[in-house]
Parts: sequence; C-alpha cells; structure tokens
Amino acid sequence: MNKHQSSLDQWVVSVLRGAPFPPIKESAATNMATAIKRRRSQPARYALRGALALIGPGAIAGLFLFGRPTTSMAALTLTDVDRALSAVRDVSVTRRIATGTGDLYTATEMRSGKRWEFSVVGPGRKAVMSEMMDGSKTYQVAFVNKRIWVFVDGPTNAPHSLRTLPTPESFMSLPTSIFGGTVKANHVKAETNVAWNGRTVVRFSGDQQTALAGGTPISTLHRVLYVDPATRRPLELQVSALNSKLSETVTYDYHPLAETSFVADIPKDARVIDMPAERTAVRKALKRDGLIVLDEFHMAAVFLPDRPKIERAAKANHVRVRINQGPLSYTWPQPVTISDNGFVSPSRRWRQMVLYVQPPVTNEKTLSVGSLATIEVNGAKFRVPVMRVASTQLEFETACRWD
Amino acid sequence: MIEQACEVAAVAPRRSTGADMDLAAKLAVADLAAIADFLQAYRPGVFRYLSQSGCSRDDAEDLASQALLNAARDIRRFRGDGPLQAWVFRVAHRVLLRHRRRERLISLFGSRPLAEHKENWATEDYVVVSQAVASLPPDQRAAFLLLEVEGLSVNEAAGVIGAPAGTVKSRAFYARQRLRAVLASAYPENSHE
Repeated sequence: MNKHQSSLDQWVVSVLRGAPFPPIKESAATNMATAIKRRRSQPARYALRGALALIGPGAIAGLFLFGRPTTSMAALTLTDVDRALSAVRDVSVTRRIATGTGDLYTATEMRSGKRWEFSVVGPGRKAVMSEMMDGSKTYQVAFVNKRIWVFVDGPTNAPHSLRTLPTPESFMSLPTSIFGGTVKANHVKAETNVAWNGRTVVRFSGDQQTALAGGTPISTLHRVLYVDPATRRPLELQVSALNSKLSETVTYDYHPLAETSFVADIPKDARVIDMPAERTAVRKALKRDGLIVLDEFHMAAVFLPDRPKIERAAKANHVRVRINQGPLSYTWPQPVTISDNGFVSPSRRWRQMVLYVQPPVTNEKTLSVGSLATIEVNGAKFRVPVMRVASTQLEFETACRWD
Repeated sequence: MIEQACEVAAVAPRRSTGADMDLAAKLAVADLAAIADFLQAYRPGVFRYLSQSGCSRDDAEDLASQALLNAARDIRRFRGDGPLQAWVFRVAHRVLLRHRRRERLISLFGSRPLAEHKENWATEDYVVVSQAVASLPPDQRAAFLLLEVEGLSVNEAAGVIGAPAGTVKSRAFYARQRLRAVLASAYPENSHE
C-alpha cells in the first residue's frame, strides 16, 4: 500500500479492486495459443522483410549514385505549392483513407469560389456524411442508425480540421490530433525531373515520426507529394504508415466545376433540421429553465440558468448533482460559451456554467429526450428539458439539436 | 445471472524477474498452462484499467482480450528489463490509445448508438467511486489507476504512460486530492486520515 494513501484512498482502491470482472472464456487460452503459433510460423515474411531492408538502402544508394532523379532544394518549395493551390478557383480533391483497422473511406471535396461540397463514403460504398454550401445555405447530411438528418444553416466557410482541403504544406506537418502524441521535426526532400504517370513532375517526400509525450514511438508516416512544375499545383499526395494499415492517397483535379455540382440533394425520408430555429430554442430554454444535453456516450451536460447559485456551487469546489431523484453524482462546474454558430466550447469568459455528469447506468431510462427532468444541484431543484447533442470533429465542440 | 458470470478482480502478483522470464519463455512456445496462468494473472488488472479509463464494459472486455493477445503474440519482445506486469500494461495502454483514436475518427463521420449498460452487479460504492474516477482528467486517471490500483512503481507507470516519472507522480497526487475532495462529503466515515 502506498505510504501517501489515506484510509479514504484505501477504500477507493479496495472498491475498484473488489469489482467483479467477466470470466475468462474457455476458448481464450486455445485461441491465444493458435495466435502465438501463427506468429511463429511467419519466418518467411520476416526473412523477406530482412532482405528488403538490405536491398532497399542499396537501391536508394544506386539511385543517388546515378543521379536520377536529381535533387534540388532551390527551385520549388511547399509554400509555393500551397500558394498556387489556394489561388485556384475550381478544384476537386479525392481522398482515399485506409484506417488502421483496414476500412476504406473516400472523402471528396469540391470548391468553386465560395461554394464548396464535402462528402464521405465509408466501407461498402455506404454514404457516411456530406456537407455543402451552395452560396446562400449550408446543408449537412448525416446518416445515423439508418436515419438521415439534414441540418440547414446559413452560408458558412468550409469547416476547418479534417474537412478542409488538405493543402500540401499543412499535410506535410500532419496535425498530431489525428495520430496522437508529438511529431519529430521533419525534413522534406524535393526532387525535380521525376517521371511519374507519363509526365515530368517535382516530387516532395519525407518521413515523420509520431511519438508519445515520453518519446515512445507510435508510427512513422511516409509522405510523397507530386507537383506540376509549370503550374506549381499539387497532383497527388500519398501518405503511408510504416507499421500500420493506415494510408491515404489524395488526388487533385482542376477542371472547371459546373453550377449544378452545388445543388442540394435532400433525400425524401430525411429529417430536416432548421439550425437557426434550433439556436433560438436553445437560447430560450437556457434563459428560462436551463437544459440537459446528452451526447452519444450518454454523458449529460447540465446547463443551468441561475448563475448566482451555480457560482456559489463553484466556490464549493465540487457540486452534488442528482438527476430525477437518482443516485448522487459529484462534479465540477465548468464555464463554457455557446457561440453564435451553435457550438458549445470551453471558455475562460464566464457566460454559462455547465456540469458534465455521467448519469448512473441504473438510471438511464429516466432521462428521455424531449421530456422534462428534475435536477437537484446542491439542494436547489430545477425542471429542465432534455436534448441530445451530436459531436462534431472536436471533443469539446457539440452542436445542439432537439431529437 | 450477470453476478454469476462475474469473478472478483484481483491484483496481479509481483513475480521475480526469473519467474517473469520463465513465463515469457513458456508463452513464446504457446504452452497452454502458461497461457492460462498469464490470463489469470493479468486479465483482471488490464480489464479494470481499461474499464476505468472511460471504455464501456463491453469495449473494455474486447480491448483487454486484444491487449493480452498482442502481449502474448509479441512476448519475444519482452526482455525482462522490468516486470512483465508493467510490460503488459504498456501494451494495454497502447491498445487504449488506438481505441481512442479510432473513436475520435468515428466521431468525425457520425455518432454511434448508445452503449447498452448491463452493470446490474454494480454496488452503490462502486458506482460512486467509478463516477469520481471517471470525472478525473484522463492523464491523472491513468496515473492514479496504474500507481494506486494496479500497484505499479512510479517508474513502471511512467514507462506505461510515456511521461516522466515526476509528472506521473504529480498527476497521481492531484488525482488523489480530487478524489478525496469529491468523495469525502459522500463518505465522511472514510475521510479521517
């Protein structure tokens, strides 16, 4: 037992250690034995890998000695390529993403002036989502549990993060949020006069090591970008992870896009959500009653209208929350901002307090979307409506909607 | 029914380096008795660590199986520099990180259905403690679970998490502080030092 542990710590540890766990299946040991034997019976693959490791450096050295392709660091930079891409009016980008589990996603993004469209097709050509801005309205189509939702909003810019057009420079310094951990400094090599798909191009390539904060390596990403030297526009970008199935190929097309490319195609059985009206409803509920929003992991965020009471609760370091007379939960109030575009995000500016509560599993049926729930916060009771939220690309960004 | 289908978790016994290497050698040749011993010793802790790290019970069960399978398959990489327990947790932690990245990727493309909860066996104490642990920031939670619940040393936990030993120590300290603050009012009889 740790010398720093109090009796309360010991009680916490004993409760956690004393919890039951699912039994080991009878077949587990034999399945594991089979997996180990299968790994042992793969020496041929490892031998081949060893041979490739020997041949690889030799081939690279040979290419270097014979001077093909030639290496030049002066002619063209990634910044030039980025600039050329952002100056383009019409562009279509197709991204083929193989996830670490082997699933294949195809993301297509088109841009023509201020109009844009983004769509994702998952394994088995199944539509995952699509988003479009036709110049006056934004349409976001989501396919959730065999139901189709369409969120209609005002004009917006193409969203950032993964859904933006991957510019070569930004892609060459891939955001660590996707792969986790830190990224070591990257050295990009530029080669001119490279023959590729029947044309002469500039090739940028580089390896990138991602690692945990302590330096434990996660994976090495190898990236190759082919650029047209005349227009300085990117043609294709290839990313592969050396020790994972994760890979991505991005293809660029610069043919002019017709206006009909940006006409919303709303499926007949879709449920259309008017986002401005939703926001009005959320603000009204916040002002009058407060509300509970549930995310897909059944985490409840409790927004309360009565600031002084919550401020007092915040000073108490933590608050006791009871939902629908269920068991008590303990949590800390956190300040958030509900911005004009409907997103909830953490904020230092004190605008709205939120209590994130994991409702007890035994109490889950008592929280039904669309109904009123009773919330007790440090003894103060509130009757608040229950809503659902749909997570977007960031952990803390959640768009509210009525179910 | 669920109560009958559950066993009580235990902490993996601390083995000597020789015993760990012996077990590793037997695992490498797929010795069934050694595999059973390995599962018996490390599955409860790995499952507990994953289930308390924000995974649903079903996910934790799958991930624990995956982590132990990975560990057993790659047991030849275990060199005996530290205890086998720490090495197994390092593998489990990596599986957890991969799972979180995948969950994040899935969240990009749409939401997923609500998990079905079947934790009828959970006692009131367990629910309260689990909620308090779940409310900790992930870094602090991992440090607390590895150090306090699983009994790893500071250096071993640092190796698992991939953070400096001092950082892990301070994270565990703040985790204990927060848990005491949260749970003291609920269980005053346990708050005395």
